[in-house]
Amino acid sequence: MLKRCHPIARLGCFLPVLLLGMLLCHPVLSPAALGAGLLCQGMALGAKSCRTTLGFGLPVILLMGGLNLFFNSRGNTVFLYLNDLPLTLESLLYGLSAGCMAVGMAVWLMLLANSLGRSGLLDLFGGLLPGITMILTMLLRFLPLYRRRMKSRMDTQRTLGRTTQEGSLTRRFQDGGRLLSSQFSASLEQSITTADSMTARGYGLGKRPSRWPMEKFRCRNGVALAVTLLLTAGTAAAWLAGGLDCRFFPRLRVGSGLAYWGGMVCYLLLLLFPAAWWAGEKMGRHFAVRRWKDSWKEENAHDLLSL
Amino acid sequence: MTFYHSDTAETPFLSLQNLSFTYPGGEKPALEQITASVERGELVLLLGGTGSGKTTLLKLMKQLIAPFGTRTGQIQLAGEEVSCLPKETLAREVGYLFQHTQDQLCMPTPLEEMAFGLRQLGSPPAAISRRCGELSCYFGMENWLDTPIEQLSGGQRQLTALASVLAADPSLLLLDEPTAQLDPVHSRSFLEQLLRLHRDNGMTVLAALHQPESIYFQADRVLVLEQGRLLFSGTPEETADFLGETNHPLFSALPAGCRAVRVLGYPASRGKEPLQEKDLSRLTATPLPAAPPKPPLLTLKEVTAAYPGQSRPVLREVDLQLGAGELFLLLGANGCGKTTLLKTIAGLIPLCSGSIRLEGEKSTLWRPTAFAQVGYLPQDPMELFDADRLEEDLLSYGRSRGLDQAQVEGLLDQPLFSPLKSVWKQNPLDLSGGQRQLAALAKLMLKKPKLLLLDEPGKGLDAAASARLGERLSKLAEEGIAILLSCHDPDFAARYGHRCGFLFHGQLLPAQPPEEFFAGNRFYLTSLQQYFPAKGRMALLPEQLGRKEGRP
Amino acid sequence: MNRFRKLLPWLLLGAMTGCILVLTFLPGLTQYYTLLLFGGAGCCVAALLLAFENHRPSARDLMPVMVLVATASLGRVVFSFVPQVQPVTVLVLCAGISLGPVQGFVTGALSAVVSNLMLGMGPWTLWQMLGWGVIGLLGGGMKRFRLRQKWLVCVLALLSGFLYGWIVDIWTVAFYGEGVSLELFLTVYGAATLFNLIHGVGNLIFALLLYPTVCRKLDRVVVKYGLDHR
Repeated sequence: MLKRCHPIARLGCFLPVLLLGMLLCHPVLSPAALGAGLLCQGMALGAKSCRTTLGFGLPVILLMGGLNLFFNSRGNTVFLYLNDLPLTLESLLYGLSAGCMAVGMAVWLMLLANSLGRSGLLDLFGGLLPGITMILTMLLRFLPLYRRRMKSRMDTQRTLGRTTQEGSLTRRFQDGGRLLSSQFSASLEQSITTADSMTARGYGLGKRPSRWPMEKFRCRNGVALAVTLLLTAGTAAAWLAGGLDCRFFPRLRVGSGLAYWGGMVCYLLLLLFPAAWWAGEKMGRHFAVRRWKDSWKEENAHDLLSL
Repeated sequence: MTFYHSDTAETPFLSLQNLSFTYPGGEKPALEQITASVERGELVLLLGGTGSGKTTLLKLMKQLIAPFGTRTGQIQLAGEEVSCLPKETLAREVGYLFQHTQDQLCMPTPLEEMAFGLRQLGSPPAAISRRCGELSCYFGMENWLDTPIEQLSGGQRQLTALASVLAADPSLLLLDEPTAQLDPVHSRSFLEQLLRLHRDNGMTVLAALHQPESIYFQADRVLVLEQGRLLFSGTPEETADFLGETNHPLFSALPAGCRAVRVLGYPASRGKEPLQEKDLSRLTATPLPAAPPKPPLLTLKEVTAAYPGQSRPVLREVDLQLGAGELFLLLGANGCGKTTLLKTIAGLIPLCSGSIRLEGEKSTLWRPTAFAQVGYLPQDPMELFDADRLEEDLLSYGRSRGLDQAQVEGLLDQPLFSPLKSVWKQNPLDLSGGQRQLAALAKLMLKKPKLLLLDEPGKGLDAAASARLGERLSKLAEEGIAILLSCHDPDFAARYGHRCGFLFHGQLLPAQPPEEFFAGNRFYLTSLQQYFPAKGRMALLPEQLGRKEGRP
Repeated sequence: MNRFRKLLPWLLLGAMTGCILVLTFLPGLTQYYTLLLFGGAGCCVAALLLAFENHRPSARDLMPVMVLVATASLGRVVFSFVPQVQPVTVLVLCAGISLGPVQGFVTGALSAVVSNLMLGMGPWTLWQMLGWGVIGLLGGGMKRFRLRQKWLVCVLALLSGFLYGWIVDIWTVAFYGEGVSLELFLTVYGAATLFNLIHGVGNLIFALLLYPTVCRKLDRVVVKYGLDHR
């Protein structure tokens, strides 16, 4: 999402929500974060991936709610007694909020990773952790290859009578272990060729690798960054002032006053910012095409009529 | 910078003086007293069998990946000793290409791979983009710049590796058997790109090739290595004459024309041009021995197979009858289904329809007992091994088949497998390509199979090892084992096959003995057939040729 | 390498110790427990990753780590006939024993990253990185004291089931939302004992199966390609 923006602007869109969201467990803000995240995901990755996320996420939320409901009885408002076990509304709310927070943060983390892209993510750490980012890049390259070689090896070993699909459990474990360790040693030998190929082209000379491809920091990135920083500062100030604090037990109590409302508004705007930006870009493109078509028609209208 | 402005023509670009190298713990030196020099802009071929020291020599020239060991003598690049050059210069000026297409690429897409070298050298981003653009234009890579490397063909991968090495604009290019793992079509196109590069760019190229056929006479010089010593150095014609006169084993790696003209008594360099009519009429050809008919062992009837999960079948109604003791060769393009057919017979891929019968018994899928009589050798023989020592591996496998130690070691006493005695206690990963093949065959023979399925066993083998493989397989066939193997080398097929079958569009075209098979082809020919002009297709292999007695 | 880079891991470890001390001894600030816990874990992981980089690993040094992480994720494929079983812990232990504590930590941390990339990322990733990383450190400790006995490795494999579970459960405690207290930790740990035991027994089986061969192969490569020479 938002791939045309500079990495720093993209980071600014998604990272503050991630950090702030982890601190705010709120019955309104946490589901709002989840909702906004799903909205962005739907826009960027399509409705199907939204459904998949919900498929994983809803059970987690319900599980959290259920666990808190049954194991946490510190609330005041009891709505049901189950064999002497009080089921309180506060614990249910807390569980659901916590679940929304967890799933919401997972969604935003995925959005962050998706928008930065693989190269963006690694460029971020590339300066500080070059070896580790190199390992991760190589893993992206080699995992599919190793998987394919592993399957081929499994097939070959099956013709020798060694398989993990049938036989006693001990046999299967032994054959599996043998498979894994033989694949491991072959890959280790072959990886030395990779290392040599990298060294031959200049890896490890001690120079800092250049950033590539280079993105230009354009005006609109500055605008995006400024807006997100402002909203983040507003939310953080409200949080520090205690406006966004939320006590679930023994009674649900949220803040009030300027800090509370100001913080809520800032945070909700921050949540909706990526979606609004993306929608704005799409609309802009749509209208630009319309305008071009109309202007072409105008210019050529008299030609068409005269034919 | 002496690399760019070499006004003095006296100092050669690359010079080796009395170069010797010994690996740690090795009794014999890997390289002995090699003295040679290469001028700027030359295309030099390095010929030599396995163990001749080609790879060691090339790696020593690329100092950054030089192996551990003791080195004496000098390697000078543009007048300066390589070990004294700054590492960055070595990384930039000397490019090295490995033969393993998969393992030498470290980034997920070709574009990132091309940019890798320059990024590590700290080039400015604009320069990196420009160079990548240039190279992708030159090699025609535009369409597949962002495809994951996993999905590319072998030829495309090797091209990516070449582009990524060229991105740093090296002045010396070292290639260590770059086409060994490629099929003939991709190999030919890669060598053509290399030639084009050499012509357009004036780059100094030093290439170790085990099948230099297509570019042999285009080279400026040839260096012949044997057992670590420089046997001969000269122009391709001089080298061909030398190898032909001394009847050296490496002579079989030269173009088939050289061998053909030797029969007529001409020097081998005459093989550069095609023969004229009067010379052709002096040649006779003895026909290849026909294989006697064999009792049928394996029958495939209307076999249709698809990979699980795919709807389109790869094999469509394949019929095949294989006799006991018959050596059947499957030929065809890359990706036409040869591996699929072998895997289907081995029982690894389910049949959509049709039947496979081995000696009357129907083969069922996924049951280890069904494979008792079938030995399957995959493209990578290392997939068969899992222990740290060859001895341990074969003994433990023998034990699982109910053989005791004496019986397993008795296998080594057979003349076929006796070369394994010297490597019995080594790690299978340390063996050479030919030794790996032999060890894999030995392991399969422990099963006492009636049918052997080999998937491209000749891949990556040089001419001598390929010949040894062919002889071994022929001996096994004589013992009554049916052998079905897939192959890209028409020469190998003509020499050792009893029958050849062409797999095309999912169907196995009717199989014929090599003589008829190749005589009926117009495009898929052995190298000797390609040498003769259109009407002179009389022989498939140089050994069939003879000279007519008497004056023309 | 400038001195700041060299000192940075130690500074981060200091910060982590600070977080732990605050949590233990300053009850007034425990309301910020989420921040402190995540901050502490983050500092620890960052410190050790930076220490790995400070060794200036060459291309050949990176390879064993990469292949181990890749094999750990392949292990899930191979042993898919038994659900929930993975040889990751034992492979990380082997990494520590053959390659050293820092490399062992990095192997563990990256295994967590890769497996989360495939199954889904979340705040628990940091704790999995820490959990497996600490097991790598443990293996490295064995290397430092030159201990290689198989029985010791098996015992460690069994115990690392618990160690990993305890570290990852710090996240569960934090998630529970009631602040940190000793009773809470003990309750959560108590509840998870059965899972950890199963994990430990699984590790034990994999240790028996994989430890000798994997360590032997790693040692072979370390010796053959001179990866121990600094």
